[in-house]
Amino acid sequence: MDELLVRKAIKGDRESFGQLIVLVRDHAYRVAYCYLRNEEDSMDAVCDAVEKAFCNLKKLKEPRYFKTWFIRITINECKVQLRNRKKVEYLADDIFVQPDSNFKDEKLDLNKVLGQLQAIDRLLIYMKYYMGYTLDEIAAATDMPAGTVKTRIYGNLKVLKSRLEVSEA
Amino acid sequence: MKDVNEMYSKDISEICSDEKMLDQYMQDNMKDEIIVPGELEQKVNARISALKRPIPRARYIIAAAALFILAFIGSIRFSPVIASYAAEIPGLAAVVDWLRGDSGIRNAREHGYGGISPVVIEQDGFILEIANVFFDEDRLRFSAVVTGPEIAGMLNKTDSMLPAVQDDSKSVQAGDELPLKDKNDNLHLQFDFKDFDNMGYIMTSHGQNSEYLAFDVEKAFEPGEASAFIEKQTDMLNLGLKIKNGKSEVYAFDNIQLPFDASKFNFSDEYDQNKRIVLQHTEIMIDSFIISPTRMKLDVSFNMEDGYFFTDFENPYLRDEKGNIYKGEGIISRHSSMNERIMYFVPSTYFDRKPEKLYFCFDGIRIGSEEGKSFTLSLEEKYPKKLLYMGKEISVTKVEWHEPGKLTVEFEYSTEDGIFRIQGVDIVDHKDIRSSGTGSYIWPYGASSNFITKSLSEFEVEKCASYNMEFSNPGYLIPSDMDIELTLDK
Repeated sequence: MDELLVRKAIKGDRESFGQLIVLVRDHAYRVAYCYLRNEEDSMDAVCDAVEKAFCNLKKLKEPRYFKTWFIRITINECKVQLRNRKKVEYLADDIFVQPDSNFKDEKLDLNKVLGQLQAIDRLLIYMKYYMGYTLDEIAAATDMPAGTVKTRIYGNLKVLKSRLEVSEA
Repeated sequence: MKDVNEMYSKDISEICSDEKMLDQYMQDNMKDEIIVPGELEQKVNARISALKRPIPRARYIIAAAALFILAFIGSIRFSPVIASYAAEIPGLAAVVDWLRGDSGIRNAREHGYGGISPVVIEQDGFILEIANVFFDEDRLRFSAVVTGPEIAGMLNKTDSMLPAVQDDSKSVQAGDELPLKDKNDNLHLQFDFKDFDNMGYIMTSHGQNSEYLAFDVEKAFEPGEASAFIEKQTDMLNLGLKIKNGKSEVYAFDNIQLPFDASKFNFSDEYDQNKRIVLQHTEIMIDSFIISPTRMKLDVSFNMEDGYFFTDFENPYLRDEKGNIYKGEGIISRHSSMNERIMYFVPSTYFDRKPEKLYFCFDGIRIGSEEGKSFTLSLEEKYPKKLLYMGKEISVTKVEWHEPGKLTVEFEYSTEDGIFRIQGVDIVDHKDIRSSGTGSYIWPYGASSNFITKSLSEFEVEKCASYNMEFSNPGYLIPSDMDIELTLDK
């Protein structure tokens, strides 16, 4: 992350802020989508996060952590979306979720079972395996202890894997 | 179906052992990507375009600017209720203390002493207020505030800070690079006391802001200087003021006149002392004691053994027969020579019942040794280098010269040995000191019980192979639990 851009943005340079957002926008959308699994809501969450970040830039103490900081804001906005709109609810036994246009079809089963997870657990798995975040980075972005992140990721994977194997058998 | 969280919590040890296998499983199976809709860029850009930067509340407060500041100052000065309320506001306490003066000033005001009205002058977008004016035989003291659109514009562009109030202490973590100062020009005031030959004065700032410059100005009178002014029977006190940015003059108020009523002036009470105290390496003479309306002054001189010099009293104060304590506050003392010291104590007993007995008390004195005080360091030497001063070891760890002309000297010593500072630098054979400054901080070194003070001194000086330097303010402590009774008979 370009720290100079961040410093300029903190001083009120809107153009620098815009450039920073270009760098993190797609990451943020993917995080939001993992959480919300709804295109419109995910875009709204990212836009709301952009606004929140702009208003709170002066609170960012370490410019090099801008991306993590912004992802954390995005996750918080996702929670707000979930809480306020009540649009997205995944029940544990709702095994037949509709295929989503955002995913290619060949790994539908895995996506299906991922959809059964709570939003935050699904997000942890996507951040690690889709987006290549380390456990520490995920912990920082989600404001959870790294140990908890690790336990939840592998715990859920274990369950999902066994479920898929039962299904294939 | 069981909740997945419930299920994994029971098998945690087994799960942890399977981490690698699970990673591989995911790599084999999760290769899809979440497609980012093209619409997102448009939406985000539209949101950024519509953003408005929130204006901090503080900025609205500051925007009230000159009139508010002047009104606020006036309120505090004349209303103890507002002053006590303002003192509760975080960050304002220091400003309020300054506006109300030291306890000697406050005590004099409470007894109705003052007599010099404040003045406000507006010229070319600069507004000057001189207020809180106190004049007695010992000192002329006032507050000066410069505000207005012109100065606000300059303050927003420059780093305004007076050397007189510059705090060089830095809070730095162990292992951090020591901070090098990068001082540029600064906005400050320069007064001209037109009615007096002796132009010396002390100016301190107790707060600054992007909208105003505010200083506390104090001129200590030499013996006879104030009374000579009174004898002129003038009704005006004349000042000049230059607002300067570094060495450049920004603006000048050439003719500031403060209405002066000599009938409201009170002369001091002076008591000869002629007392002599002998301590190790030192003979201390208490020459005179003067009680003025705003403070009390003790003149002291020293006769030192060869090779030693006086540095300070340890915790000096006055105590009366009832146990009331009078201490130094604001300007505590000044030197008229190496062997003389003028010490100030507040509040003054001038307006109260004269104490039956008054004692000069201190816990000891500090003295320095000429031997080892001066030393030479060169840029070519290998460091660390050990120095020994007054039985204490100081390790010079770094001597570097940086463009465009800054010499930095880093050194360490045991915190138990007090504070060592390098006072000045001479280029060997050149004597070309331009200015100097000192920064220092303390950090734990080695075992937690063993503390080392690490200090950095900086000097603006040309590059040279060797530099002569001197330590300042060290001082052996010579303990002494002395209460010296002062003579209060004229």
